Amino acid sequence: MSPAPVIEVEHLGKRYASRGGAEIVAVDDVSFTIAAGSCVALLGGNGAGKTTTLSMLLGLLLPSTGRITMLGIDMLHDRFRALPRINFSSPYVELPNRLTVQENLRIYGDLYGLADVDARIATLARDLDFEAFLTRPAGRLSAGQKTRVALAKALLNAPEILLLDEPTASLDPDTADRMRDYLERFRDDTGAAILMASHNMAEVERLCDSVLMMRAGRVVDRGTPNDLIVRYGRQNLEQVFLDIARNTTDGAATRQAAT
Amino acid sequence: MRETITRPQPPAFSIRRIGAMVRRYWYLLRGSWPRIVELAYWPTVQMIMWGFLTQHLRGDSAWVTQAAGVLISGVLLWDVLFRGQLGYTLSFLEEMYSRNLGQLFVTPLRPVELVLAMMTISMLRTLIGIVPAALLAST
Repeated sequence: MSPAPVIEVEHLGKRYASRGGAEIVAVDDVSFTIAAGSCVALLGGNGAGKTTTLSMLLGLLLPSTGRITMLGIDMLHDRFRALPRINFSSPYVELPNRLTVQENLRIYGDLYGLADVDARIATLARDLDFEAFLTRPAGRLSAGQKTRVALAKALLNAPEILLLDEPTASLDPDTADRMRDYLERFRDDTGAAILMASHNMAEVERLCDSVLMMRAGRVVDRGTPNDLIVRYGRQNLEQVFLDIARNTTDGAATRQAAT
Repeated sequence: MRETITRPQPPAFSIRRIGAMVRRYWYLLRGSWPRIVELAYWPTVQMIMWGFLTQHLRGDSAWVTQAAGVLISGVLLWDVLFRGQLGYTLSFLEEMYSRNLGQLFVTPLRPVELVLAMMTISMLRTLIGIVPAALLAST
């Protein structure tokens, strides 16, 4: 029996009115479920609707249509019950620059009501290798160091649902690899569900059980990385991504017919 | 083996979360001496300026002295209000400037707790500004 879904998204949509009165559709009729302990990637070109979808899941944006249920809780009406069990990381949302890493993490630890904040910070600092700059202001960190600290913030409360936007952005290959190892271990140890938006296809192939391909606000294809590679007759996920992003739909259909 | 996490349902209203936000603003304030000095500087300047004016008017008739006293009290109370709202507004602008609101609004922090934290730090900032001026006035 497959594990119960911890994220259920039904017919999610987000529309904005533009100045000229025309409607801009950022997300259109997106539905998916994610089970506990699985990792799903949200892929698509720039402006495909990935970040808007993540923002709606987190409650930062109100959907125009649809329903979001996380951990059995209706996020549109009762999100505060679910938020202590969720966390997210994005390289585009910074931590306050003038506070030290330790001060920042301590504040978030208190906001999540952790029993022993300092012990948790020490564990994460050791595991994610940022003990050396715990006392440095967040604004003086390099981009890669900021990414690691953002990841630590996202893992502070050992979330049951982890939403990640570009989790290894700006990391060197060695550190990125160690972060992926850590995320895999974290998922296996805690049974957390991970939904990530990434442009690193090798990372997605390695970490994710399933992929949602988005274009112009819609989910245009889905499946396991291997399924998609086979279905599109490609060598790797990056080529599949290019087919979908460039709308070269001959990819799947033509190749299927040819075989 | 799966890691077990004790996860009690967090309270709808939490003093700890308010405390965390107050500490966040306190860290910011503490980290900048110019900000602290600036907080106390202007109320003290006002107090000195209006204090000298009162001294000057003390020699005049009783009603002029009384009117000046009322005016000074008004100005100083206005300064308390002004510093109070400044402390509140600056805390919010700080969150916007550091692009931290997105992080905060996905934590269990409730809007009312954020507002209460800003009110608390605003009161602290006002006290830092007004207490030196009040001590000066009492001497």
